[in-house]
Amino acid sequence: MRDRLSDLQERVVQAIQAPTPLAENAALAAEATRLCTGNARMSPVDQLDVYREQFWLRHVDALAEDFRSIEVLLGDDAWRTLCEAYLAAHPSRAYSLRHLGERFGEFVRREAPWRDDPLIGDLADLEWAFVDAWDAPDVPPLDATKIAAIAEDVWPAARLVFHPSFRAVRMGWPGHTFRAAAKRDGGPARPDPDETFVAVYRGEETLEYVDLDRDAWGLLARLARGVSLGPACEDVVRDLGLDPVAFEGRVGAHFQSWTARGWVVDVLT
Amino acid sequence: MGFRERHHIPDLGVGVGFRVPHYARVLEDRPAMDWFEVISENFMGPGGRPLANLRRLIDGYPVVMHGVSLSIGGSSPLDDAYLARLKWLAGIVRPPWLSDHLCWGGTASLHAHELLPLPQNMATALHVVERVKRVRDTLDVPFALENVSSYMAFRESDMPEWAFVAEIAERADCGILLDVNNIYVSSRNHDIDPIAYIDAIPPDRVVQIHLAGHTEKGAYVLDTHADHVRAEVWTLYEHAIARVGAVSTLVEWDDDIPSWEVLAEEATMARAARARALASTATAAGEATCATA
Amino acid sequence: MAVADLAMQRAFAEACFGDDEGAADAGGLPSVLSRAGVSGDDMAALVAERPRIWLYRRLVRGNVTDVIGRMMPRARVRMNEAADHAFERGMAAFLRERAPRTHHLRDVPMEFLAFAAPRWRADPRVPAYTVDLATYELCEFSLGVSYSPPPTAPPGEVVVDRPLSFVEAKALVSLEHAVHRLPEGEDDRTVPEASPATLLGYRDPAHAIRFLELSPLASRILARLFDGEPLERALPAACADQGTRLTDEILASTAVLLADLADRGVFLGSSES
Repeated sequence: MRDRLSDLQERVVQAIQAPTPLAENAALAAEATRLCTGNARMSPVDQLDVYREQFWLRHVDALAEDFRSIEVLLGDDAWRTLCEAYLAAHPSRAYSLRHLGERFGEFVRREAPWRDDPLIGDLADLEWAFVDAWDAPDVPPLDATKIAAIAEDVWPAARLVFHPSFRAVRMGWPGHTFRAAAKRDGGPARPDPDETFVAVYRGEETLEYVDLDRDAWGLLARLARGVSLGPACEDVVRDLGLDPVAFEGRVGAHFQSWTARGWVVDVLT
Repeated sequence: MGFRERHHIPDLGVGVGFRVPHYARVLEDRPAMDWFEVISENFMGPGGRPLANLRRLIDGYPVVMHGVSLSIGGSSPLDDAYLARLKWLAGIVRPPWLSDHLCWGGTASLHAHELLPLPQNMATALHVVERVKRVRDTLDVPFALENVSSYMAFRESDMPEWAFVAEIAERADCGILLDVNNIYVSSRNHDIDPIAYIDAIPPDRVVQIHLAGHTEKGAYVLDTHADHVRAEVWTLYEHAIARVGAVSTLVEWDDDIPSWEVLAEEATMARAARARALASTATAAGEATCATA
Repeated sequence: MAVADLAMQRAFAEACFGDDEGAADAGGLPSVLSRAGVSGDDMAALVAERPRIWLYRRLVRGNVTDVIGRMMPRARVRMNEAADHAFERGMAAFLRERAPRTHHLRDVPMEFLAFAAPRWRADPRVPAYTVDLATYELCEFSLGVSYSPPPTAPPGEVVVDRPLSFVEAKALVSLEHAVHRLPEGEDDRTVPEASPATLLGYRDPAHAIRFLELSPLASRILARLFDGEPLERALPAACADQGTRLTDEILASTAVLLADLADRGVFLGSSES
């Protein structure tokens, strides 16, 4: 029995993954006729095609929900083409559609023609940062007494722990303003290139994002990788050619702003 | 003793699905509603906002879990990680019962995220029964299966859908979530008698009823949950209540979701229909008692 | 089929579609059954099942009125408001006097409109344009759900002595009022101008329903072409219908029309045979 059932289920799954109507594919249409009875109003092909159509609607909608700005950037037809290619390469194997777009960023940066427009990859990373931020686990907030107790000479070796919802994203375009406009009006103009740094995180009730300075992003990116505070600051000063004394003064302000927003949840000494 | 009695299944009254557009209204204003149903998978992630919302919900209302991804009729092995997470969530929610669909959702190569119908025959029924027993033994909560809407009929089916549903529920000793709209949709799509369908379901196994709107597609009817409950479905609902008694009822509305007020009004209509049906059975029982006295 | 079965079927149809009193009232059911030729044990069994028959009646009638109402929502609300629930009365009369004959629920609204439209036209309280609106809405729905196989090849040469081939999902609809220009919302109450028009409705390759306003001559030509007349016969006959002569100008504008319809995915070329 298992074999008969699994054979039937494999055949149905093959058919519903076809991107075009089953009537246009002789082999799949014949398969539908072998599987289904049809009735006075619908042929066996029509019956199975309802599921094929629903399969695509559900998956393309789920991807559009997670990557709305890319759908708006590409337009309906090109968006559907991208979804078809992505789902063919990465069919859903997880029980929740939450994970459907997990490899979308990687896919559009790797595959032609989408890799030729890096704005698509940038938007994919940004959008996925929002998806991750939404259901990242909760952790207790930073313990202020613990921070107060850290001796000054220990700070350079300290490592910061960030909230699981926190993501720092670097883009070649102001993707976050394009994303906001796409969600609001549906049809913003393609943005002009402009190197942009954005932090995405979960606030009290909603998802939030803020622009970051280049030096703040440089520091956050290193700290998030686990580099301790002293070496991270030295790297940023060197890479960006900053004045070390002026930057040191800014680090304190950065730290205060990050902790106030709940990005930093612990300091390991 | 019937399934409901054995498992102390309560009558929660009439509730609605807990859906994103109403989160703020429900969690902040705490409007009157008998109970809520949540889609289990929406809260099985790592945590964050979804779980925080769920915790606030269970703090104020009875909540029942309803899953879409178990794939009880699938031919690939049951997903142990999924079951473990479901059990973890049930430990938080502590629902009086939990449910999923009598369907399959994919194969080892694809999770289709569809409620795909099963070939209705005894071999498939026995296959499902074995899997239900495993689920039932894993979870500490009474488990129920929902009849699904369908748009295709398999050549391998050789028993009516109602017999398939009843056979599985009896053999696996599980509850039934009777979706009256699904019965209507399938009756239109497959030319079957929806009243005979309801009459063939063992009444004491029905732990919950679903109501929803559907969409006319010309050659078939699509179960969209995108509209008001239709008149024919109200008729069937009253008939179902008259047969199964005071069973918790849930109005589903998942697409083109209306304002809270519209949804709450739909629940009020369900409450009125339920009361009407229960009153008519009480009257009929009274008449029968008089006649035999 | 046995006589008794036929009688039972008649009785069932009468119980479902007859006057409310008949099936609803415990006293009425025996007379309904007896008129249908049911008697004896069958009658006793059916009378005992009265609540169930009432249930089927509600279900069957609900199915019919629901599908009709949903396919003509704007006409329904306007007509009911303007003329003492004329739409609902039309449905009740349809169920009582004629009842659906098609086995396909989706075809019931067409049977209903064919039944109700002459009555509405004869009723001075019913605004004439609402009947056009019902026709237009039903056409729109029917085009949306009709089967349309994908075109197999781009349109080839037009052959004048063979029937032309068109997409399945298309229809000509004649209106006395410009209901096709009304705003779409169900709350809108704009009254359309009286302006006779023939529209070509079709479903485009992206499955959007579109309407194209045709000149009287173009609509006659297309009506004949849709009926399968080859171009060499359809053109002069359509001109004769309109009391005009076939001129080079008409030939040229017909070529333009067919080219436009090919662009829209409506005209698919000459048939194979």
